[in-house]
Amino acid sequence: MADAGITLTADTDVAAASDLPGSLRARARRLLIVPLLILVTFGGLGLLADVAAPYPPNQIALRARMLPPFWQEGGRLAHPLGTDRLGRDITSRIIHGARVSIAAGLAAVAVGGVIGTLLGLISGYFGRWIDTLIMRATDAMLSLPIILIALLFAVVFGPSFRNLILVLGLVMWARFARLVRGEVLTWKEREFVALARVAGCSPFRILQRHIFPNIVNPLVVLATLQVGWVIIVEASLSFLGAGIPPPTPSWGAMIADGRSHITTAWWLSFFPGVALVLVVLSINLLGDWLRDFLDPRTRNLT
Amino acid sequence: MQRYIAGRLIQCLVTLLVISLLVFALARLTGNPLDVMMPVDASAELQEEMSRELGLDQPVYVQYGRFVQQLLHADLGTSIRTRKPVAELIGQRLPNTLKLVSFSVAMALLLAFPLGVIAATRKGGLWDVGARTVALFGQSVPTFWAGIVLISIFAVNLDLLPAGRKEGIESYVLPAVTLGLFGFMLAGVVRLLRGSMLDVLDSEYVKFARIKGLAETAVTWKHAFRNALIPVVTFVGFYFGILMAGSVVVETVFAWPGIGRLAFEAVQWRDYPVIQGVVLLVSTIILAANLVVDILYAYIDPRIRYG
Repeated sequence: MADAGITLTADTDVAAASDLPGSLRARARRLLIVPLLILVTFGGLGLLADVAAPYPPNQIALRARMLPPFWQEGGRLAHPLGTDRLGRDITSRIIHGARVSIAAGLAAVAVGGVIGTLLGLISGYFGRWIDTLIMRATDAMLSLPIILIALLFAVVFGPSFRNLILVLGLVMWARFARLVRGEVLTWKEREFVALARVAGCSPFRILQRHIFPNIVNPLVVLATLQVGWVIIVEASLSFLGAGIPPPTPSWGAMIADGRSHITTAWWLSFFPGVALVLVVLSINLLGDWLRDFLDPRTRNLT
Repeated sequence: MQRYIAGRLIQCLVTLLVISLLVFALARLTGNPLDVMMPVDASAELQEEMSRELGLDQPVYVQYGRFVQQLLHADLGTSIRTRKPVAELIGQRLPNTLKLVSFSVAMALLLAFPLGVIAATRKGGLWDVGARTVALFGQSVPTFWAGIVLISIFAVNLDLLPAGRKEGIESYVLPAVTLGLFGFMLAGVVRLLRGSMLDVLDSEYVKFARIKGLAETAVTWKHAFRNALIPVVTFVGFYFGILMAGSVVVETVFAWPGIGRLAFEAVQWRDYPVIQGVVLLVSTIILAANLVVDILYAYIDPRIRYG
């Protein structure tokens, strides 16, 4: 499951949304407003969680325990999505959970993206032994069972937000390195790069000024799709008790809490999961669309 | 050919070496094993004796050497919690995980093959949109939530299927559907097969088969599908191992007595040797699966051998 994403990224899926006929494509583009709205909403709620959430996420109210959502018998409008076994408001916890999920996604992709891009640039431009070394390391990283490695780290260092980001960033750089290296290989043989070299540009300047700007687009596409993947992995690890430690509200841990009450209180697991699916689905849709829009090679396929 | 296989084999061994180093280094960071094993008031002499017995007084590289030597003898250490050999614990559980993952893969492929092919032959049509929607959901819905929702519908509310625990064939249905459909396998195969079918359908020999006057079904399934499968097989080989790691989550949801559940329980008890054993085993399986697929390809397609 979450150990995926390697093969589902930019390069394999060239023929995705881009080869729909014109009318469907136009309709698909107009539909993009929905995922964008969802992302803006969750992002905004997450940012302003302290103001936007009706209750503090960890406020315990034993009198209001296990309330169902408002439309079911016994539910109250004051707790629209119900409460958990400690009387904590599900709505408020989902809103605070949005902050954690999105922050984890962005931070891990930033860590992995920066390291991976640098290594990919070096590997692709300088070639030789350093290329072999970096690519062997990349292969090793890509065949690691990520969830299990993250469990290992959680046991050794204890679960924490920082450790989670480090582990995810550490396994993710390989995907960026591989993409960037491939791109550098195609660009560095171009004439403008050769001219820059003749003009006396240093390798650093060539990479920064002449090659990197051409790589930004596929990089943005990969990064977007990876954010969705990281959010799922983070939730899976929190579900297993190896992600973000309680009482910080995280969607994965909320779903885990609800698992033991599945026969009596379905809403405990259901709503955090809906939030998770909505966000990840929106990110994936956005990523697919960005690929069509930003990556001229796939755009030309139509 | 032999050079190619030798090269790939060395590459795998290097990767295994890196993983064993990582696991070994992390094990050192969990703290002194003596603290866990000895009573708090153990005398200094006793501690020293124990440390000599376990080889902890030796330099680190000697310790690592012993660690690798033990691994080569299939000695994965002893579980801190149960005091049983880790290899034995894993051996008991491994068949359950293998069966679950195999069922999941079968489930995913059974759905993905027709979906991917029909999506490509009716590109842009309703089937295509449907297949891509299935792939999108397969990629965006986390397994553990899908599993819980399926349990609550089919086990709790409809009382149709058991919610896990291995008893009879019907107990496989929910976990295998969860892992197969939401474990990236379905999504990946549908997308890949659709793309590769589109490429193949555009090729000269498919056009030629059409000109010969073959029925379109024969062209699609006999000529195009077989060739479009090539990249898909690599993907499935690669993902079999990844799904084994992913089954940690599904086994936890369904209380499935496999190695994933074993790893999950070990996390609760901070039982490092057990998780270490599972990580090493699953990594080895992933590498072996990749190696087998690569070698098979080198036989089938000479371009890879010399490329």
